[in-house]
Amino acid sequence: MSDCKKCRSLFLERFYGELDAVKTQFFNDHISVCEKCKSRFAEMEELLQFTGQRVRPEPPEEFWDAYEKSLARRIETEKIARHEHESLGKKRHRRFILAPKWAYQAAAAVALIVIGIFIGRSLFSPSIKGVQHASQRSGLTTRQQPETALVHRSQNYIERSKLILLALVNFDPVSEDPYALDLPYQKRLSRKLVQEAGTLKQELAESDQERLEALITGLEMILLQIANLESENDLDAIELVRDGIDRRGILMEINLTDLRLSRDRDKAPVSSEQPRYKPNTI
Amino acid sequence: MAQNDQILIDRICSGDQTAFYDLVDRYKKKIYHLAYDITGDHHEAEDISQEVFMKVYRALETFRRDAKMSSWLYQIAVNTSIDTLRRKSTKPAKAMAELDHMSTQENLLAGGSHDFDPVRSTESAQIQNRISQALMNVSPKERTVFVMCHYNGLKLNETAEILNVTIGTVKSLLFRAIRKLRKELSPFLNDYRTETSHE
Repeated sequence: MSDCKKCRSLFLERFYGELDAVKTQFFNDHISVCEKCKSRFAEMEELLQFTGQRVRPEPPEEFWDAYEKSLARRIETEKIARHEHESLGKKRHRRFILAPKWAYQAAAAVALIVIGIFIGRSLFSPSIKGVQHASQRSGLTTRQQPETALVHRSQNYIERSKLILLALVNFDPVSEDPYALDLPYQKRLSRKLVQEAGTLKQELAESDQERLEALITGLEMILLQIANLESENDLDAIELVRDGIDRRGILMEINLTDLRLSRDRDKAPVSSEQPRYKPNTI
Repeated sequence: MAQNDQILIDRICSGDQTAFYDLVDRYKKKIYHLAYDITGDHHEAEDISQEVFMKVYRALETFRRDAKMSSWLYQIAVNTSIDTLRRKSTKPAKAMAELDHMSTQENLLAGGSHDFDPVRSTESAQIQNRISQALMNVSPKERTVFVMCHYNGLKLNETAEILNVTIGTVKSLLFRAIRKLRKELSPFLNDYRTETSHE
């Protein structure tokens, strides 16, 4: 490194008095013989001295009193919030641990009954063969059967999505507690429905059900927004989703689709064995 | 100061709650000034400095006994200030308007002394405003390094440690800031040169 370069790299340390004795000696020796470095250093020194004249407006003592009080208040609020959060967590944990024995016994009994019903229905209900014959008798062609099933699945999907949207639309953030909405649950369901949407859309596209496909696409976007909501207290984000539902007129679209499908169902040949649409409970 | 800091750290680590407020008392002005120098806005500086202490309060349990308290605080202050600038994209013009007003008031208040010279005072206020304005026209990174070294008394190596960069980067940012400030302030520098040569 040339002496000039080395000297210039020491300008700042020299100005702020951070050079050791050896480097100071070198700096002074070089400056005394190099006019260029000398004038450059003088220029820098001048600017730094000039800007050194700046004086910050100093807040008065009252400001600092209020400052400390405000900080103490913020800390207190945070302490209380943290304490509440911790005690809520403990309470939930304790509730789980301290649940009485009979609660578990009752839950086990209910589970047994459900299993019994399931086994009974699968063993003693009419065979599938019968249903197949019946559908053949009703005159449904082999092409109509999967299409009807697809429409039923779509209706089921729409109905489940509608329940989530209604929960969100009917939620009033002013009078209701955000916890009442049970957003984590709605998010879980939305995520599940978003996952289902892909296959459903593909099948609808293959069977030329454009309207249903468009409606499921619209629902998928809104459900995706719900699934990605960050926190249950994020009322702004919830409001945004509600706006989206309003703007797209998605609920109106669902009602129209319901009407259209029930009209089509009425027109279709009557068959006692044709599976009736039942909205699934989620 | 370093020894006092060590005592304070020991008290904090041993769970002394009052130690935190002693820490606030010791550093509040320094942190406020640094935030003010970076943002050029009194209200932002107040918010940022309080936010710094809130962050410190939350992280007290995880504070390492061997860490340097002042560096840690400055580091949080710089990050919070730069984040605030980025988030709110504070318009220099707006911040400066406030600065102009505050500095003028400051100078008028200073005029209460016996040797008050209105012309000189107005000139001085103009210079103050011009320097502050020039600082706001420098990039946030360059301004941060400049104010840390020039107005907050931090050494070059301390600044490098706080910003987690090399000393070479600090010097390079400082040179860039100086070059830009020279360009911005050249008309005032000429007057300053004439004035100092007369003296």
